[in-house]
Amino acid sequence: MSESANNRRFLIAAALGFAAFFAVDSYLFAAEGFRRAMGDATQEGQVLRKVERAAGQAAIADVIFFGSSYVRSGISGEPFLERGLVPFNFGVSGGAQVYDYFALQRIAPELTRRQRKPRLVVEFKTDALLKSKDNLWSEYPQYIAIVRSRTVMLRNAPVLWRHFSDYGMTSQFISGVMIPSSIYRSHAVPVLGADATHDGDFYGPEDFSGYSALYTVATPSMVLSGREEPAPLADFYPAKLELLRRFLALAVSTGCPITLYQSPTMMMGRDSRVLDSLFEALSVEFPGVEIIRTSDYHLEIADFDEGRHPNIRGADKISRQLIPLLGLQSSEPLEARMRAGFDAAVLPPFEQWTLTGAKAANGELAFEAQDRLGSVIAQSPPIDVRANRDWVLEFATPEIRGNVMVAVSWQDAETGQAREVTSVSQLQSPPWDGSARFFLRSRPKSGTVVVRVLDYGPLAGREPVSGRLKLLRLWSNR
Amino acid sequence: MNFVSSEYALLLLVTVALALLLRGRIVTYVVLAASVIFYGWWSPVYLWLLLAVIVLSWLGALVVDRWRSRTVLTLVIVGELSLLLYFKYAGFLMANVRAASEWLGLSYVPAVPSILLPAGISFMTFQGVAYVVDVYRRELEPVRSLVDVALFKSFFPQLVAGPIERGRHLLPQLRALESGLRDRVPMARGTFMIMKGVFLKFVIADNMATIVERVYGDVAGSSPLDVALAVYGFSIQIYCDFYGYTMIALGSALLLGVQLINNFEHPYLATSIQEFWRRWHVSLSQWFRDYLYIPMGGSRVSLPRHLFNLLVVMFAVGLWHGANWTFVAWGAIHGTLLGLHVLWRRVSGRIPVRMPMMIGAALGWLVTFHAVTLAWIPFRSPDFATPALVLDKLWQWTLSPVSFDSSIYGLPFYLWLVAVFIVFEVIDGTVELDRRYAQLSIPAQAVALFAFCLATYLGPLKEVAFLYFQF
Repeated sequence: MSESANNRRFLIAAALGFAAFFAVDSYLFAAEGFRRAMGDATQEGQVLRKVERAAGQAAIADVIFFGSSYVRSGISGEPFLERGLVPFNFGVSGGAQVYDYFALQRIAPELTRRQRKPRLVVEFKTDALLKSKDNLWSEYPQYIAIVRSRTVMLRNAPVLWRHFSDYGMTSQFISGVMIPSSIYRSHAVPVLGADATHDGDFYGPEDFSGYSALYTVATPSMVLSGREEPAPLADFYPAKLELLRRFLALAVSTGCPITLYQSPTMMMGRDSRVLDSLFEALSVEFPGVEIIRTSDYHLEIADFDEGRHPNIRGADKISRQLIPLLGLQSSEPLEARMRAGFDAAVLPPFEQWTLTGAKAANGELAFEAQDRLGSVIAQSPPIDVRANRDWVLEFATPEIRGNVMVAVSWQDAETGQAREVTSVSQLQSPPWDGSARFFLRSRPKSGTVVVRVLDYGPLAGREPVSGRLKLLRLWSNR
Repeated sequence: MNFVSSEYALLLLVTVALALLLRGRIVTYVVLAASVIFYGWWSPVYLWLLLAVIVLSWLGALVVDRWRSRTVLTLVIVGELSLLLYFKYAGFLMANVRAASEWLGLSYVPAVPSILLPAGISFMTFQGVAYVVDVYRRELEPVRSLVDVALFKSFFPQLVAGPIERGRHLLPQLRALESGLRDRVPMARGTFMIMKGVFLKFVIADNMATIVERVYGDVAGSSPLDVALAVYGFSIQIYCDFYGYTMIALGSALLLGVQLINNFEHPYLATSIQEFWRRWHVSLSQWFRDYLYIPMGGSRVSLPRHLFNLLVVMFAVGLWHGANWTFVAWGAIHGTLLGLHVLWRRVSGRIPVRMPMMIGAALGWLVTFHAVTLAWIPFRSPDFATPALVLDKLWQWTLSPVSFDSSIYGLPFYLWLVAVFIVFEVIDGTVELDRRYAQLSIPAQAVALFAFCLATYLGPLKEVAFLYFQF
């Protein structure tokens, strides 16, 4: 057979082979195939899960936060709720200007529709914006997780190309346009070699607002030194600035008030002027945009965790200080708005639970180590929920010694198998000495769930637990 | 530009498409432009270096041809090598002068310059030297056209990591580009070679690099089993990395109607160290054979001189790979192994009892593979302390090889990769897979292509540079 005949045959084969591959790519990406198989404990899973509830939360929120893990784990929801305010924390791990811009696009129509506009708070982070040799803020997984359409990729191609070129990732960018499911390459080792599933959450479960708590405590040696003087505009990544400008322009078009938020670092406020020249330039282009610097709120070293992010104590502290700084005031009845945004399951009082070594008093569960033989402390009667929805159980431990485990279990309606998800309190070392809140997210395939409180001590070969526990809520986004 | 990148896929696609559509001198310009884009992609600054190497070779060959003097040839070779010496060895040289000064307690302690190594400089230089020497030896007519020399020196499939092509092999093929490629490009074969290369590099080598990097980064903290896995892992990694690169280079060139030298003939199937070097990095071995070993007298000298020649050549091969004593040690080990092989052949020829062929071959393979694998230890190590640590751990492992104390995350995946590599290498060594692929039916070709595309999901997310790009 002649070479040209061979080539004709091969071109047909190549067309068939590539067509089949593009079909698989399309299915995997559009149907979020890997997420279905592997759960939500991936960067993509975190973003997709958040985006799923974004429109609903944007419809009722008083304030919406965008940014990285310093926002996601740095601004807690509870202090807002205590003051009758509804926050939506749209921050994700590693998110910065690329993620923020496309995240805002997802909720912009809802924001434009709203009569009473929420305040949009976007993180303004030195690490992400300033050029540096080993800058980690490429945001590729975040980008591919939030931009799910080739049209959007191509429409924004020039700025995205410049952005990824700064990180030597133009190849991944082109791959993302041609074969977006190529992002799933990062899962080969866990899937095929580590026998690991991705059930659970990527960097911790989130509360009703999208906040994920951290519980360890930083040490004084972790305080950072670094640039303190304002950085000239030439020192910033141009593409990141372009995306920040686009974010601000889009935010302005929705009619929402905007605040640039310098998230906390372990420079303990000494870096508060670094972004001044940039802020000055932006405030000319976008008059009315406000700024909160690291020196506008106050944190101590113990408010940070071992990864230099605010821990739950720091996040609560920041949230309380942000409310007046952002000028937030509750003007509409909270309950009605929450009902519009969330389904709340009725949690039976502890008196109705099966208690094996615990007492119910004042809406709390009190337990002592010597009161029981097994690990189960208390078990709820069946609690009605809506199946196949993301439910978050929030509980607090006003006082505790040791570790308590809370489990949500159900009978899978499809397979008939028993399923359970768990969350353990205060697993960290050194032990957390204050009260804390914990979150447990589940997606039960059943109309009822059972909540159990267990002593984690015997299960982990530690001392038995004693203390008090309070269930705050079991909510699901509408 | 990395071969395993989307940019390269697009560049190749566009270049091949244009080369197929066009005819005449324009094709040369198209391929030359693609080569310039390919090389300038990393850092356009180094395009001047490429230009310097091209002009030096072009002028050098014309001058050597005109005057035919050994002195002129030497000057031209020194000119070619000076770039290599400066970019690759100046820092190494000064570091050694500095160390010697400090050791001798001299007051002169020179600064060690920090010079960035331009990609492919060793390959470019050696190709340039071969070109002018071939012209001097009248084995090749000098090329008058600067554009033709530019394309010969910069032809992108072989630019940064070889094969080190000779003028008499590559130049006529590049000239033939102008007569059009239609009807003479074996697309299926070329594409299959690229797919094979991507699989070897992207799926096997790059994943294996994860284990190797982690263990070599903390040998003291790694278990003996993990060190053993990393030692074998690196043997597989470097082969798949370089063979993968070569396959992509060969496949890409084939899509432009050019047949490059195959640098690898399944070297890990070799049953002696001499055979290994006939199968491993063939174009480099041939270069050293033709331009150093034979001019030194080769094997047609006394036994001590023959052994000395082998040692010198392998010392140079080691130094060519990198400006570090660990590479020199690697070269010296291979020089010693080759010397031992020469001695063994002399001794074994006098032993009257013959071992059955199969057993001899199996033993030969076992010894050769392990000698080569152990020799990679200094090659992979950043210093001389690391090989000692690795060998100590390997010794501990040999004492209890059944201990399963491993902390490698995802170990079954890597063991699976090893199994795939062995099966692939054995099949590829017995059947010419790329030719077979071209003969398959349309559905079979499509299924194989589809399977290859799916296999890319096993590669790592971020691209990893080819190991030989740094040489």
